[in-house]
Amino acid sequence: MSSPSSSDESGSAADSISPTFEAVYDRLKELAHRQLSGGARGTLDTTALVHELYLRMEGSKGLAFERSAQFFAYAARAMRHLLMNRARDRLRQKAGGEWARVTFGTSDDAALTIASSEQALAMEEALGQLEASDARAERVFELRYFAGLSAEQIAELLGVTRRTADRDWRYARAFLISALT
Amino acid sequence: MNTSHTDRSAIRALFESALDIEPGERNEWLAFHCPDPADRAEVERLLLADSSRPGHVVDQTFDRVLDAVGEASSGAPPAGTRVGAFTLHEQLGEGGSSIVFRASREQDGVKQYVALKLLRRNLYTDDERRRFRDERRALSQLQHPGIARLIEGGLTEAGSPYIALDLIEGESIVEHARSRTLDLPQRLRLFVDVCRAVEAAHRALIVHRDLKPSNVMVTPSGEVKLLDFGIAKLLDTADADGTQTHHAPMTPAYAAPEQFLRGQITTATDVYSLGVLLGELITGHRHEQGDSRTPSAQVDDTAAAQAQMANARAMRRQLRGDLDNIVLKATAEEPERRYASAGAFADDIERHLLGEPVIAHPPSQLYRARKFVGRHRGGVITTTLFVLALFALLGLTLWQAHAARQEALRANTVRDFVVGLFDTARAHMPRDQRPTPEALVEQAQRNLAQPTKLDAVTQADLLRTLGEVSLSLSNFSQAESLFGQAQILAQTAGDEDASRNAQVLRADAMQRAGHAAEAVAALNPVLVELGATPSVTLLRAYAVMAAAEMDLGKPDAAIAHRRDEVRIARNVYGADSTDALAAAFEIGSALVEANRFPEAITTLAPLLVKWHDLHAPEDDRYVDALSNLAIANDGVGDLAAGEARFRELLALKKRIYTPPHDAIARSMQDLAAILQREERYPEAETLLNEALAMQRQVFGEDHREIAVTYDTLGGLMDRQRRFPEANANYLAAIGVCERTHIKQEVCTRARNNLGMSFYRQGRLDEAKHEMSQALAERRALFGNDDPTIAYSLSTLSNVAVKQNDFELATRLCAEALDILHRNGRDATREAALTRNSYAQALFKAGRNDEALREIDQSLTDWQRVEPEGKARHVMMLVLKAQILTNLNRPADVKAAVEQAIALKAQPSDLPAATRQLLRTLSGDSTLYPDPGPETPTHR
Repeated sequence: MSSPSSSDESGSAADSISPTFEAVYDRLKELAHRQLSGGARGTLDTTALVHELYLRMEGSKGLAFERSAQFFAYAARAMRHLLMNRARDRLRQKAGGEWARVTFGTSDDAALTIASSEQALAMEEALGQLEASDARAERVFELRYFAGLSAEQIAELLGVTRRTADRDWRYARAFLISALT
Repeated sequence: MNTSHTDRSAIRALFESALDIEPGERNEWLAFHCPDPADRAEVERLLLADSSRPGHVVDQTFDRVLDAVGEASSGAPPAGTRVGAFTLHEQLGEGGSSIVFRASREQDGVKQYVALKLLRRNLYTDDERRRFRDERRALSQLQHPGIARLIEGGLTEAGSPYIALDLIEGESIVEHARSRTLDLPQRLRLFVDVCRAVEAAHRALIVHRDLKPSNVMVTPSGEVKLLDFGIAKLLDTADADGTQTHHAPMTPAYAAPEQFLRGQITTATDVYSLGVLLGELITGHRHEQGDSRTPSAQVDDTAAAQAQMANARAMRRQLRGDLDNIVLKATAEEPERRYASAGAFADDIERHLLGEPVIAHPPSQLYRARKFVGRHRGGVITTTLFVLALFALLGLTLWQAHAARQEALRANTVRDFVVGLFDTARAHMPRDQRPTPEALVEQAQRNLAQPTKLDAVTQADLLRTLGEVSLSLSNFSQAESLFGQAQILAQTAGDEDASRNAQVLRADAMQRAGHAAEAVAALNPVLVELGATPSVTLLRAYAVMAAAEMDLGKPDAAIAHRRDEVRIARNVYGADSTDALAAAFEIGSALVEANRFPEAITTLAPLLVKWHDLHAPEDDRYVDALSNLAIANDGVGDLAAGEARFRELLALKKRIYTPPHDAIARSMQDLAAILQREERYPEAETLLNEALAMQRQVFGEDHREIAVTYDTLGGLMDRQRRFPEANANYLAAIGVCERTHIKQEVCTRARNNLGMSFYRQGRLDEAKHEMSQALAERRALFGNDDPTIAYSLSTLSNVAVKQNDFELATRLCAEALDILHRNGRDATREAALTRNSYAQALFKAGRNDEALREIDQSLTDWQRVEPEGKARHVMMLVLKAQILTNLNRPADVKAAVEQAIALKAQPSDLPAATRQLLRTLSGDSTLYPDPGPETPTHR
């Protein structure tokens, strides 16, 4: 990545949000909301979401992306943001006792929800550490995990070899797991 | 994580380098390369994390994590909402995939309470709705006292599915055991009930997919009740073919590896979850991912107290052994290593309760080695790791030789394991990351050369297996050496069968390496020893013998041995077996190599039909047979169909073999040959060079196949009048023949082609020399009546004409035509060309009437066999015009010349002399202008 405007994207997902990022994020939330409230509660298909957003953003004049790399970086960041917000809300609900009283068995569903929220926030923190020490590995992880891109696509987007992308992924995975355990 | 002051890139570099080191040696390596203890600890943490089993949040899909977290606002319908016939009361629970309510309905004046589960998955298509209905019907028929009934299910008005289940009062099995402080046997008996209920569902072909404590309830009266049976599948709308599972909810802690890896979900998936549940039930701790400790190792005093044991140590003693093994067997990573059913799982626990021996035993070394290979699938494997797996194999053999001396068992396990190991490497790994199997085999060979505790028979067996791997990789010298060692060892051990088998395989490797004569010498004594008793070894011996004889230019003997081979194959495998058919394919192949195309077609075509009728796979044997049929078809005509078939074959071979591979190269050659005949020279040249490069990688410089490629390349250059390059290629082919001492058609053909090339360049003495030598070689190889002799004679006659020895020329041609006639080849391309030469010689000798008769005949034949061969057609017409000029028939001369011009042959394909004659005969000096001296028109 040598995009001159890449400084827009630095900083952790929660802070230092550029106007461009906000625009992407708002659209994404809107799309996600529509997908989830379409009649009933569906499972969110994030990859489809990202691609739908990409098509829309490409068509509109409001946002000009120098490269699709930048778009996917934004989209991944937005997905990450979405997860963090949900996880924070969840834990806030739990702390405030808003969480539906669980009387049905031990409800592993509920436990899973809490555990996943906690893990998601822990991952967020670990991603910040990874970014500080190895920005490219962090970006490879983000594109693959949050935007659902394949290793080939990532390699192409970042202008690195497939092997490099694979190595970055492996390192990022080890880094995160080691940070989270 | 307090490494902010250290250089992360250095840590990363150390981590990545260490990945290439065998795990057992990493600590030592790190101690040397990373003296700083803090950094080293950090690298070690990374390595540990890297080797952890998938299952971490990082390994889950983002969608699933997001789903699990759920939407911040629950959006649950309020109490009092009607869903179908039910009225919702309070919410009982909520998760990522569903919300559960207590609900009720009035039926016959009785209020029935149910647990109503509202699923968060909309059913959009008719197909999804239909599958939901079918699944629901199957579930409603699942009646077992240990399973909560599905009372009803349907779709809400908004289209989301719901199901009503028995409302169970009680607590989860783990809580139940804890609150009642059940002792170990009580817990186990309760668990047996769980297994029996699961077994009943499995018999109804319903898999739970999400077994976990909260789904395994125990009522206050102590009855087990399983909840949510099959609900996971109901939710999984992407599961049309029963293989996709990624939308199905599951709970990571209890999910089997195949659920993470999106593999096939089977009853073994439930067995895994049951295993985790059992571990939790007896230790009081949920099994953590990546924790490889046995249940007994996880016990602490609290758990012991809850199970009414004095202390942890006492409890560990109870668990160690059987119970540890039972849990490990149930939670094996590979589904096939787990209990075959929930019932078998229950049986083993009952055996343990009765103090009988259980089926579960400690994981064998084979198991561990497989696990090792399995874990490193998917692109992370390195050569070092793979070699380590091979060491594990050798360890296994040691263990097996020690533990069980049962011959058959050992032989099969060893072979299956080795072959399985290599299959793993070849099939699943990204090409650039695959270790070279040759290196691995070498390593194994070296290890076997060390003093081991292995008995000679086992070592021989292992060497032979490694040899077969080498053979399949086209590494013939390695294979030969391995088989040789195997043979000596088997002989030492007094195992005559194994010794003969290894000897036959060794001959096979020799033959494939191009050492046919040595192969025959090695086979002859074995064939005597083997006698006529049908056996797999005899079968292989005949096959190798036939291939070697083919190489040595003895097609008849080869075909006879192929027929022996088919006879034995029918005897050993059955008359209608694919193996017998495959052996019969080889007869066709030998016929093709002997240029007996019509026979080859009548042999191969029905066999291929039969192969199809048997629904046999389109494997390499089929490919070879099809390819031979294509060659035979091509040999008798039809270029376009031939090309299409060859292209298909090349694509098939690229799917079957990993390049470089001689089979792919051969397919490229075949395709190039047909492209050349279609005059698509640049395409043909590219393909041939590619084939040559591949063959050099496979065979080294000296091999028959390489000679064939050189000869073909020479012909390609010749056709484009690129004579120096043509000569160089022919000489290269001859060089290969001389160095390897092979005597085959390709060798004589290359020499004769060289002669033809000299002839076309006007270097007549050299031409005559090479052609005469080729003729002598052919007579020695094929006898005096072979069609190739006729071709040699005909080319020699051309030289004689140029040297004005017309008498010799006519004699040579007459003899050639006589040979062709005796072979029934009067109406062939060769015959037409030879007759053309004959006419030329007669014309030069002044025998014009005879010349006219022959040229007319050759024109007729030529148009029939090569309707597209325009250049040659023009040359024949020009000759005819010359003869007619001598006979003083100007009108006929004019007609012949006009006919020649009308053919519009490529000027570059015509010799300068022909162009000159055309200009003279037509009186049109602008016709076919010479392009300039010695300027090749192509390139």
